Amino acid sequence: MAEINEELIRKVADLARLELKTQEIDEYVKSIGEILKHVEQLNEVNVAGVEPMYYGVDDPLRLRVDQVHEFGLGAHGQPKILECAPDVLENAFKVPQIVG
Amino acid sequence: MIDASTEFETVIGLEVHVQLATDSKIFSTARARLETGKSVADEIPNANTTPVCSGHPGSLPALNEKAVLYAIKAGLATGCTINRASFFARKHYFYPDSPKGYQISQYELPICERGELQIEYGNDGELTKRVGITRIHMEEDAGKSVHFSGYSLVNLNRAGVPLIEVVSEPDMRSPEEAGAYLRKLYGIVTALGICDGNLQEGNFRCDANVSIRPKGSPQFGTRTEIKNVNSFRFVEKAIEFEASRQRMSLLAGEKIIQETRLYDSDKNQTFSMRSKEEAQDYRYFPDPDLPPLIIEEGVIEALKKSLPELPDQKRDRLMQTFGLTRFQAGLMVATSSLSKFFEESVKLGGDDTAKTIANLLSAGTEIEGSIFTPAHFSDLAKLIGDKTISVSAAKQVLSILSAKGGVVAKIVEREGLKQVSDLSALEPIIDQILASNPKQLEEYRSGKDKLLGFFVGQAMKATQGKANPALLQELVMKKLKG
Amino acid sequence: MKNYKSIREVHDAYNSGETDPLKLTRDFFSNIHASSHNAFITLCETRALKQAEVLTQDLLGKYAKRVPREALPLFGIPLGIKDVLTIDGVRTTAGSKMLDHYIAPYTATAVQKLEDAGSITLGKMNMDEFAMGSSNENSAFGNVVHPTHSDRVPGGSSGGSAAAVAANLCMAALGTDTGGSIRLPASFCGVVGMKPTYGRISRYGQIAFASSLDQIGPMTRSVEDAALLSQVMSGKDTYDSSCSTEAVQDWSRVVFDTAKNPNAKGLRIGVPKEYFIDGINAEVKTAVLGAIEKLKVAGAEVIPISLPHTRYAVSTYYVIALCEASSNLSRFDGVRFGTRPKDAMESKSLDEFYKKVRANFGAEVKRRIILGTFALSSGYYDAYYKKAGQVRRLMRGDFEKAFQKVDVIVSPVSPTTAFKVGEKSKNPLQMYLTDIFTIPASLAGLPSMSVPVGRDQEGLSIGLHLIAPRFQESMLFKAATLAERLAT
Repeated sequence: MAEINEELIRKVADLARLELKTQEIDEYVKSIGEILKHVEQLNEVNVAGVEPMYYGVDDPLRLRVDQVHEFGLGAHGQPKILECAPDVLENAFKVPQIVG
Repeated sequence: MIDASTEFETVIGLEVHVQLATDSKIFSTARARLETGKSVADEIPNANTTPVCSGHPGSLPALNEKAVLYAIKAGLATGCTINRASFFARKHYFYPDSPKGYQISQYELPICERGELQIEYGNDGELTKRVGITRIHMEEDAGKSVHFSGYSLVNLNRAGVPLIEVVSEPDMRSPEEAGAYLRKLYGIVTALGICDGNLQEGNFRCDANVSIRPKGSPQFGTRTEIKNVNSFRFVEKAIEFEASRQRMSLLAGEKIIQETRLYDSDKNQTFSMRSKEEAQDYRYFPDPDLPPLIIEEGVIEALKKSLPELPDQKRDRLMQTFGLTRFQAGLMVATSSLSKFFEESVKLGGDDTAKTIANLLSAGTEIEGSIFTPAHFSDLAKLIGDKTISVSAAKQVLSILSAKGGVVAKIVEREGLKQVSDLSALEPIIDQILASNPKQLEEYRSGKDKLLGFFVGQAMKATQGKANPALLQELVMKKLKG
Repeated sequence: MKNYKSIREVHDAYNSGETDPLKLTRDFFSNIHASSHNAFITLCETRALKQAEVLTQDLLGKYAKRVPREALPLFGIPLGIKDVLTIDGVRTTAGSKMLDHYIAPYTATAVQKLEDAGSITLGKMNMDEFAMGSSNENSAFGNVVHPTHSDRVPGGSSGGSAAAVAANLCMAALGTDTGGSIRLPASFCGVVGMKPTYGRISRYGQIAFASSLDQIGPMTRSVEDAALLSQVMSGKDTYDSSCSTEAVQDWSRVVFDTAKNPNAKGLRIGVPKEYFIDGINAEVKTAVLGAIEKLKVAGAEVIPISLPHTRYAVSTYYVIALCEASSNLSRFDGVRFGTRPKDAMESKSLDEFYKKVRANFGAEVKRRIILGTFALSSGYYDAYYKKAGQVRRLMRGDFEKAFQKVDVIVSPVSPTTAFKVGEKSKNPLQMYLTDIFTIPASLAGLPSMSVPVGRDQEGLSIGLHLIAPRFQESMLFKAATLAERLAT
């Protein structure tokens, strides 16, 4: 399995949009390295022909009838979903300018 | 070795995102479809959202059964194998219009695989080709963002609208073929009723993968992806430009960079979208919130039986019933609204007006949202049929109708468009033309057959275009023979 | 105030006029304000008193002083709700700074069902951030203090829920369990904690940690109360595609009948040899074996079994759970909800914006996101996520084979009793290993619970862990009722 080093942790942190300080990186290299080393024991298991278990239920997917249930407006007459939003302008979520 | 003499061929694959015309979204109960007459711009941003399609903590997806049925219909209409078991996967990427930080899509084992489309192209649609469809899978649409100076605004009304993504094999070799494929696919999904077909509102969106390679080379060249071109014509032009750009690049010794590009229709150019090239790691894995989708035994059979007449079948029927050419019939079935219009018109005018009506409709008149009714066309066809007016006069009537409206018979009367079929009126005119052009008459009688056109043209001019063209030509020929 | 032992006792007290919903609610708030357990993150005092007032009026008025137990089985019962479950209009933090000011716009189905059955919500319980932890030392709102021993952890991630029930701050509470997060704190705090079969209770409104493992469950003073709460919450939900359509039985009836005629004859108890290894605290071992012996004496058959893949449990679980968690936490990007740092809008790029917002995650959450993101990343999927999924199926197979011979499987809940604050917090792997006995039932989706059966020399509670086959909660509650009776 992979070697857990600073470069890898930085790369993965970037993928997950996490900013890590140097001491955090050192700590994660150590603890994550340890955990993954423990996980290596899975290599001992003979999994030939075994179907992975990805779902908690055995039932197939249940379908929903195509019906509209609107979430509605909030106390101030704008879409209710905006009440939790950190920054709203003209009923839209405001974020820094998306470049590219 | 590539040089200026190398013949390249363009390789095109198309990915079409079709918005399904369900009432609610694919995984949430928010409204998915515009109310009739409204446009996307009319809707209050974020009014059509619930905690599910805006990715709130604790929300879960619940799959819309109609979206599944529509996806299967699309697969059946394109000859795909419908997978009895298919799976949903999460495709991860961070972007403000992607509320969960991942899109629910299908990765391994989509709902439909291995289909095809027969396309017709060429001047009269005489060339045909089979284009393979690799897969059709279900996924959710993303929201939209608008950019300003220093900030962007995100609207999630569109987030979660059901999509099917139709992925073609890279079988197309020209912009024309690509256009034909898109028009055919468009005709099918609208005929099925699974898509509202409004291109302006983004119901049917195409991404084109374009690469070039020296003719005969077995390997594919590096491809670029042109995204979000919103008309079939522009797709063709974009592909044309891109193929040429790639060719020039290769000839200049450059390498083609695998990237995403956009098309500027004003400049007729594609340009690169990303400032730096970064391969996306989507970290696909099966969505644990959505167990496998199992399609019951009888469902596929029942859907197959319920399929409406598809464009190709309709085309063949029109050819058989009304004797239309393949090309003409193909034009009449391009959209379900046009084919309905055509058939209504023929019903009013009678079977023998079919060819004429098709002719008039093929002239590129825009039916959608116009003042035209089927009766306009059947009336005109009848008048042409009994030789009251000529085809060109009929086209004049159509343009007057579209500008000012009115009644066909009255317009013909008012504009004096009745064609002259009266021999006693025409013969003197023709005699006059022959008499005033002795030189050309001499040349014609000595063998210059081409001058027939000259005489017919002159005679037609003398009648202010009102002469019955067929009759006029016959008379001129007779008189020229002497 | 009186320490009621069960919901039934409260209803009797309502019927006798000894107390009423409003009085009881006020009493609980008194206790809460006087407590130093830090069991609650948010109190819903106004809301709860309003609920209590209406119920009290109804009791005196339309119900003529007789609690309508049939129609409203949780009539007037004050509950604590783990802060990972949403309630419309109520602050819901999941124990994280990321959701410090988040007012949920909708109510979790399970919570709605409880309130529809007459319950009163006292407040939102403290927990490990995003349910990630085994000691409740990972909350952005401070540690939860053990109900009786302040130098000990209450267990996690549902530490607040467990402590509150044990310390008489609410009648019962909801926790959530992904790898043991109900059962472990229940064992550490001396209360009953139950995790249903995966798919019994809707996860709609449960802020997701690991989607294929998460379940909501009751933490109560008695097995009967656990059965009642489970029954009320269970059942299909159109908003949760992973929620089963399996019929819900009358489990509180099963408990009632078993308690009336306790008979362990015919009950086959499986004791897995892999769960009784070295490393288990001696007193824990003694208490658990003692509980098993009592059941044997009462007529049960004790059968040794083997669950051969047990040793891979922690590895399997952490790969799967962390992969799913890293994905589930992608939605915390500060765009539509969540805490934005003041300078977030000045970010020069989206990436910078996201990083600023996601700095709200605590260290353990970040560690798990990184691990999960890594295991799903290009090139590693087969080696980690897929492999773990395969081992998971083998582990499930172990149980299915064992359940051909036994009705219920028992074990310790954890190798130790409540450990000291700070003892394992510096060593993530050691912390993960505390879940070694609870994890396998989670991976297999089996219903399981912790029932207090003894205390160690320090007075710290020891729980008996019981596991039943999928959807066999009736068997689970039957065995648990017997164990509970025999323990007193």
